[in-house]
Amino acid sequence: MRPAARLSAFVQDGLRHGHSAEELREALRANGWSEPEIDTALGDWSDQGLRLPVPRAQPSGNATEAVLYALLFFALLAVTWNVVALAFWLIEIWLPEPGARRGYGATRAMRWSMAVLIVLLPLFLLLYRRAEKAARSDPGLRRAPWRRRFGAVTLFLAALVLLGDAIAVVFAALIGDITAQFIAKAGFVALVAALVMMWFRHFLTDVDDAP
Amino acid sequence: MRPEAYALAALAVAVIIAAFWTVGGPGTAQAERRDTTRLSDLNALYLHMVCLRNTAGIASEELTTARSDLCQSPRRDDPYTGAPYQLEVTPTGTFRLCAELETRAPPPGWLAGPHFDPETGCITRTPPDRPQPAPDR
Repeated sequence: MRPAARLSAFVQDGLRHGHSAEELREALRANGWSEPEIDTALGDWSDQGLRLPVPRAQPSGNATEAVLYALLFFALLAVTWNVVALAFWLIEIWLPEPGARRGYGATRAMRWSMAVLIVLLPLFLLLYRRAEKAARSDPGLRRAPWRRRFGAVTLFLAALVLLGDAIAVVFAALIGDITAQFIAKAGFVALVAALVMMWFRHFLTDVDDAP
Repeated sequence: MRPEAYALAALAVAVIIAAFWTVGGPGTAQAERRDTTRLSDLNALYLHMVCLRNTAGIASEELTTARSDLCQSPRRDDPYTGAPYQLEVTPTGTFRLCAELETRAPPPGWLAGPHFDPETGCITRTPPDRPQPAPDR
């Protein structure tokens, strides 16, 4: 039996024999279990005064949910990537650097990004609305593992992008390469990453509010 | 939806609209493709004139009209309007080849060398020197 399962079984037995959660916590603490481990084990069971521990609802996932969040993640990546790519092309046209010529196939690349956005932006918003509607109608879905994974990976990637952006700005300053075009590009990347972080932060914080 | 969702969606829509405004719609793209064909024709004509001069030994003043079995003859007229391309050999020996372009967008890299001027639609290029015959031994 794995340690977590042994711990959960111990809590279940303890509650069944009429011990309170605090008594069990003290006993476990005295035997070297950490607070997070104890919280997790106690969190598996609820004492409803039945002299019988009631299992708490646990996160569960299904294939439909996995497909929904996988599609949502793919659409978010494609939308943000192509918004930034398109904005970079526009910035290069609007704030040209001296002597620079527009690169090979610029308009073709821009039209590709436009096509991606025209198809995937509505799809992304539709999937997001669907996920939120489901979470609102059944708050237990906020604990869904795929939702948490989506939130965690999105926040992680957005944070990496912000860090990379900051490093690029400092590096450009150190080598004396700060131009209006560079500042506009770095600012746009920071804006998109910050909006994504603000938007999807609640995918993780909602978990704590869910019953 | 959350306010950040509206902000990001609005940003994406604004970027798409700005891109349409900057590069144009399907009509502009079709015009760019026609211009690419015209520039490809001008490049082929330039190479043809170089071949006529260096391989067939045609004199400069006849290069714009001459033909030779030694050099493959490319298209001399705009395939969309039927108007002939403007070919000229300047007194300094530079070739100037012009087409009536519909757009001012930069063409693909392999066509847009330093010899091409998008404002006039002309390629102005000095051909390489004629190869000299090997000296007799």
